[in-house]
Amino acid sequence: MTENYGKMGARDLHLFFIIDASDSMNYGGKIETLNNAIKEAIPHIREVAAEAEGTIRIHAMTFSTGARWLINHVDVQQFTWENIKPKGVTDMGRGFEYLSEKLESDFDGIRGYQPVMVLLSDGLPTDDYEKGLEKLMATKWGSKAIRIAIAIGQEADMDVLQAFIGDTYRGELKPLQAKNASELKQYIRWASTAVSNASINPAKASLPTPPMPDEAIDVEALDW
Amino acid sequence: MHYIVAESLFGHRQGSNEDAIRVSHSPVPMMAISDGHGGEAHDLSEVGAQIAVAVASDAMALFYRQLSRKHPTLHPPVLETTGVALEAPSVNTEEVLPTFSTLSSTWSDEIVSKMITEWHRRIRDYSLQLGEQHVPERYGATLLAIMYVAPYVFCFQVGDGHVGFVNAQKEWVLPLLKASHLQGEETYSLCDEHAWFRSQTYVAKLKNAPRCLFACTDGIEKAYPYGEYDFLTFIRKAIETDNIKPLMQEAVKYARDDVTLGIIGLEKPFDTSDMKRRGRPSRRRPILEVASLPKHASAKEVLLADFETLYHERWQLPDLGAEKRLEILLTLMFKNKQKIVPYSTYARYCALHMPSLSEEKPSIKLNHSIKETHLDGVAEMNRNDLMAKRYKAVQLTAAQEGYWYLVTPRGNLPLTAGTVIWGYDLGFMHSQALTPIGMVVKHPKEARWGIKNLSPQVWQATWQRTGVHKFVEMKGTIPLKDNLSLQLYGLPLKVYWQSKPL
Repeated sequence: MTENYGKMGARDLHLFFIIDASDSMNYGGKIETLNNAIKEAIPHIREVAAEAEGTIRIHAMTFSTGARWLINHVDVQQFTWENIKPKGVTDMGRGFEYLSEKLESDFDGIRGYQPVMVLLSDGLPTDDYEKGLEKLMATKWGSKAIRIAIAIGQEADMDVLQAFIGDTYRGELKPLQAKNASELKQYIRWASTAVSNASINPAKASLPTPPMPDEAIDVEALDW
Repeated sequence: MHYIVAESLFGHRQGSNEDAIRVSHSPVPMMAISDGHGGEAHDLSEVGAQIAVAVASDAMALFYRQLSRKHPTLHPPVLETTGVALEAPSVNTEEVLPTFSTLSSTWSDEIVSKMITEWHRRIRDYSLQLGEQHVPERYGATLLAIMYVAPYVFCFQVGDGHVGFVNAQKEWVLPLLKASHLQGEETYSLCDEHAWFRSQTYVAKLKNAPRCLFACTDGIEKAYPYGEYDFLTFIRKAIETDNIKPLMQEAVKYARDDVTLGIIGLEKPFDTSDMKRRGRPSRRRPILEVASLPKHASAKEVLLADFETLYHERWQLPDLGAEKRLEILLTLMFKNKQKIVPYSTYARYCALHMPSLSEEKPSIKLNHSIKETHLDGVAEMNRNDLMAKRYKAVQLTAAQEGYWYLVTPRGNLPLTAGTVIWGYDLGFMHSQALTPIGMVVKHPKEARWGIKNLSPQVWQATWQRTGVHKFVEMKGTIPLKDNLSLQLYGLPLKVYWQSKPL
């Protein structure tokens, strides 16, 4: 990146998915829905990217026993999604730490649209998430990002997700709770498109409201 | 070689250029740039920006006139005007030059608040002329200003963008910091309710004249995504090139925003006939001239005024001193957010009786008049009987007790239960004045008192009698002891015990 120092260029929007890939995601078809939802969101993210002077760059990491990057810095035009296979515990704190290390090393001094971070989790962290979150918030990009949290099912710790959201939009945002597959798809699409669009076309820090759950869906069939 | 760059380019896909710029080299180099927020909520921000640069230019010109009248030895950096060397300005040896602190506080307290107040006045009159309801947010704009009156440089900023200068050593000086807690495109604005407290000022005495002064809107910054200070490359190129247009067009393309840049190049000798002008000043709309408002109310009237009037119309109070403004702002702040104000704070700023430490004062509801907040009015306040009895008992013993004081650069600060030491007490002005530095707290178990460090800075405490040192980190507490020396932000303070109130 140093070869670009002092050069003009278009700003990119960086969209981060931070995904819980612990064992519990295997139950009730959660992981399949999540994989499908992200795949379905791709063309819509590409539409939003057309609005930006630069492009939207996708980053995705999973945390279970430890954390790992799935993709990094991928232009949405070339973005394809590899299905996640969950296994292990919920080291959410390690995930935050891993992300903060990446932000410190690769994003120092970089200017972009306000980054968007989407956290998806279905359970309770098994490690010290506060320590990791503190590190993430200590980074410039982590603290400035629009942080969205989506709870998958009823068992996710909403307080933890709220802590991740923090002061995004002056603390007005709440975690979204996806109680079925349909809602999860809607929320992922909203987080990756509407929120990205708000970052590219900010109207004095306003954010479109998340979609309302569709009551007509047969919840029983999909309920977790 | 001297030159002026004043260029503003429209960068949105629709609408009009919401930036405004005014650059002047006479009588002193001065520049003002404003960036209208744009969008539906700020549909008149173009007007707001034009008014902003106009009021800033007027205020700076007035400031220079006042200075030059009082201190003829302060002069613009013009040694030659027509190629013929001028005689050195006559120096009146009896003249007392302004001190740095006087200049600094005049700039921060008077000139800057004058700019903001005047801006609010003019946009209100503009609304009146339009016959519409006055909504300041519609005119939302930032403002950056810089002027050089040898040997002083004065800067001011509300909102984003950059203002600075290149000193004689060819160093880029960006004296004003960005508000790091704002997210995305958020920015402070002239239309903010507390714009004065959110503004930043900087005054410096320079050994040598700066090479140039510059200011730019955030559009240029947006065009450089790879480094935080890469936008300085743009300014450097603008100084070097003869044709700035292609550069501006490229910046606009990437920034998706209006791009405005102003540079005043000045090196000794500052010869206006040799001045090379680059770019052209933006086309200016005539600014509406309006009649003056009635003189501002006195501090007492303001304190007793209707809250809405205070909040929206008179909070700037340029005719009042900094202390009184702070008092009023504290009142507004507490009234607005919590509807209560700690007694010690209120009493201090309203010059009321200061209670001793053992008098644990609850907060005061601001719907009581000032008189009622006096200790004598305790029974009338919303407290239960037990508390009232306790206060009476305390009142009786108060004469036998002593008082703790903190000696600060602003004088002796009585330390009472819950007293907050504000940045103002340490001599900090401007937005730092309302930063809480410490607070008097009671020991959780014992009847002892201490000062809790509310600042991120580590304090150094020394007990004069024993010579023992202690460091107090944030949220740490130092017990109150007679003859306790404290180092806060490098300032020497002292705590002492006095048997009678001062």
